[in-house]
Amino acid sequence: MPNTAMKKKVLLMGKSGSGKTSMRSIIFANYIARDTQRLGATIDVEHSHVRFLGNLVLNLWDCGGQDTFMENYFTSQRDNIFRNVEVLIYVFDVESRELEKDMHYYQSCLEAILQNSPDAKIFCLVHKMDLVQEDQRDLIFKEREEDLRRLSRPLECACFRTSIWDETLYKAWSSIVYQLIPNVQQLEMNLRNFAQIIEADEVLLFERATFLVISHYQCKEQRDVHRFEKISNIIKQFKLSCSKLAASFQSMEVRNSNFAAFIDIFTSNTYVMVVMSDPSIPSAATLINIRNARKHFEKLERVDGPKHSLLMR
Amino acid sequence: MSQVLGKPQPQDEDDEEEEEEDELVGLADYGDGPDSSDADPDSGTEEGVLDFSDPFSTEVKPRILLMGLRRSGKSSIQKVVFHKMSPNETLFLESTNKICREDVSNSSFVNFQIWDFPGQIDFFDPTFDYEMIFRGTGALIFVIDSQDDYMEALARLHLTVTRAYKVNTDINFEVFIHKVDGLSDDHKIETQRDIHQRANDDLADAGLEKIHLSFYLTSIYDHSIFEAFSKVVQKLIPQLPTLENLLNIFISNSGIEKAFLFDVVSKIYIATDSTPVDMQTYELCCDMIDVVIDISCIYGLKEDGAGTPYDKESTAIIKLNNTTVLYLKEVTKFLALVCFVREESFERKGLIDYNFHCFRKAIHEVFEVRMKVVKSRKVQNRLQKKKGATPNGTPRVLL
Ligand SMILES: Nc1nc2c(ncn2[C@@H]2O[C@H](COP(=O)(O)OP(=O)(O)OP(=O)(O)O)[C@@H](O)[C@H]2O)c(=O)[nH]1
Ligand SMILES: Nc1nc2c(ncn2[C@@H]2O[C@H](COP(=O)(O)OP(=O)(O)OP(=O)(O)O)[C@@H](O)[C@H]2O)c(=O)[nH]1
Ligand SMILES: [Mg+2]
Ligand SMILES: [Mg+2]
Repeated sequence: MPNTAMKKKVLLMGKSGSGKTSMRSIIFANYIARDTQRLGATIDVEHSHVRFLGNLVLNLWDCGGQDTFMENYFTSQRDNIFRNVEVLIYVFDVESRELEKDMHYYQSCLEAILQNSPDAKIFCLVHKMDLVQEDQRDLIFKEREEDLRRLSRPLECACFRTSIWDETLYKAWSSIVYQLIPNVQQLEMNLRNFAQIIEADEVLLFERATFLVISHYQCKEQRDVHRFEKISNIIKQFKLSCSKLAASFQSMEVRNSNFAAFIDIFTSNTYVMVVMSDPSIPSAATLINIRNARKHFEKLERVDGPKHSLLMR
Repeated sequence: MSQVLGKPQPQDEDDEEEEEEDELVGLADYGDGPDSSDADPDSGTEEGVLDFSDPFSTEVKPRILLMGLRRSGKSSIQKVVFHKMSPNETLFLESTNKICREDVSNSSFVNFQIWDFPGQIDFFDPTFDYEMIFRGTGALIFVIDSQDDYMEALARLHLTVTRAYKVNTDINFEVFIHKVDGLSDDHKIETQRDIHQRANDDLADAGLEKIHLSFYLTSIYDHSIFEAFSKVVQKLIPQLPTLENLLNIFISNSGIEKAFLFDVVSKIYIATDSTPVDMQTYELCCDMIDVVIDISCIYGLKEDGAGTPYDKESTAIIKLNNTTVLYLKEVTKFLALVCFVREESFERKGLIDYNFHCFRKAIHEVFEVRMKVVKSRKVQNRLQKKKGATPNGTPRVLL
């Protein structure tokens, strides 16, 4: 598949009000969670092209979930909708009262995918988890996950619990876009070299617009397993605060007696975060190392760049 | 730490209980000089907590009351400001049915009590000793739900304020016109004007023009609640002019545009230099504190999770694309200095750090003077052992 490497079709489906438009607006259009309460129902399909990492364009199809639209997707628009799909994201409202119907639509969707895009990767998001009592969340999610896996056969699906009110949304979307990045292994290998050379505890690479973590390397055990999505969420929120002052955030250095973290613009499409715990390494040294690595990673991104960027615009 | 307050009842000799009891009963002696409750060596003071009360007179912690009609948002305000509760979680708060008293002296720099009242309190209920309560009050915050019809709230405000004033003329009356996130900008201004007018007319009709009410537009969904609370708290700090003065000297000598002294836990700003405060600047400082604490919680604790995210070495530098640099430094265990600096001034970071070192020392001296007073009046040898607020004398070395 020579040409699909740059434009990737992503279907967002699920019943009306399940939160599809909300999540894409937060991840890709700088909405804050509260802003989504003003969103109206999506009429038919809303297309958006999101440039991701420069040479990758996500072609998001946000499919309005009201019954009449859904019926159309499976009949008259079937080929158009389900052809050339790279990723299907199906969003379930965890509080939905019509589980049967949700599952029915989901299965119709899988059928159409199986016919038209059998290689598509499938993600199920059990969404609005914030509405479930905290001590019930694990249990309910486990149940749903099992059901969904079973119903998806012979296709595989990856399930995530999400909410627009916390960092879980970032975890799900990081995993989704990770599937779509073309040269991700190479990126990871280079990140590992970089981390080892500069003696970092951990290095994270973020996509510049969304702050989703697209790659990471860890040299030292860390306590918090949810830290990637938390950092995405923290920095994204801060970025939005800066935009209120008509400014944008460039770099940050945070330290206390146990660590120093540096977040800085890296390549034209990424931010990097470097975490150090050796107090004998001065900030200036780490900052210079980051600057020097920039050129190298910039080249990496351009390897298969030129022909794609020509196609893009 | 929150406790539910019933009627004061005699308790047995438990240390903490005793303090509370003294506080409640002892309030009758407020102003009569030290009473027995002063003898309790407050652990907060050892940590370098600044009391609001004048060190040379009494030592009773002033209290801030949260009053207002049912569901006006009192408990939400308290939870959001002092417990980092996220605003949408307040939807699940239950109605308060007893007075909830909370001490904020041990978790943060600010040393006072917050009393969260039930929506309907009955001044005529004989078990409700409002005289005792108002006597030890520094500020009374009256919360009005601006999204609701506020006529009843205004009547209640009038009754509450006049009662309180009769008991204690020194109370600061602070009116929070709350939940303004639901109003348009024009509507906000109109509502504030209307409430202001009506409340003052009511006072004038009662011949009580001398009662001063301050008004604030607030919402838990943005920073307005933190800013309003900052102003309420600042009025209760006797050391405010000293702090302001120190900040003025510091920024003018360091080429800094604006500096805030923040209570890290509550994000209340304790003081700022005398240049005007721009709401957006303040908001960005709050957000910076959040970022710094959140990242430090993830990477800045020991392997076993011990330690604190905010410690003596806490520092942060954030650069924006419009040549602004935000610079945060630890001042005390509870306080941080957050500065706005132009990039070209930040090139002289050595100078800034040197001046900061002097500033920090001066702040610690403000504490120490106070602590000496406390020491001489309180259990001396117990405090002597503790190093408390000894300034950390080493300036950061620069490259
Ligand atoms: N509590 C909660 N509400 C959410 C969450 N995500 C979205 N919502 C709310 O759900 C409502 C509907 O969201 P939309 O994004 O418009 O739903 P949709 O799936 O795009 O709906 P259609 O366009 O009709 O298919 C909005 O009011 C959102 O604020 C969530 O994680 N938790
Ligand atoms: N829109 C909006 N809602 C708010 C705000 N502050 C509080 N609320 C909501 O108001 C409701 C009542 O809040 P509480 O804090 O329980 O009110 P209260 O004054 O303590 O009520 P009582 O304890 O019954 O006297 C909750 O659903 C809050 O989510 C605000 O700033 N904006
Ligand atoms: Mg929609
Ligand atoms: Mg309450």
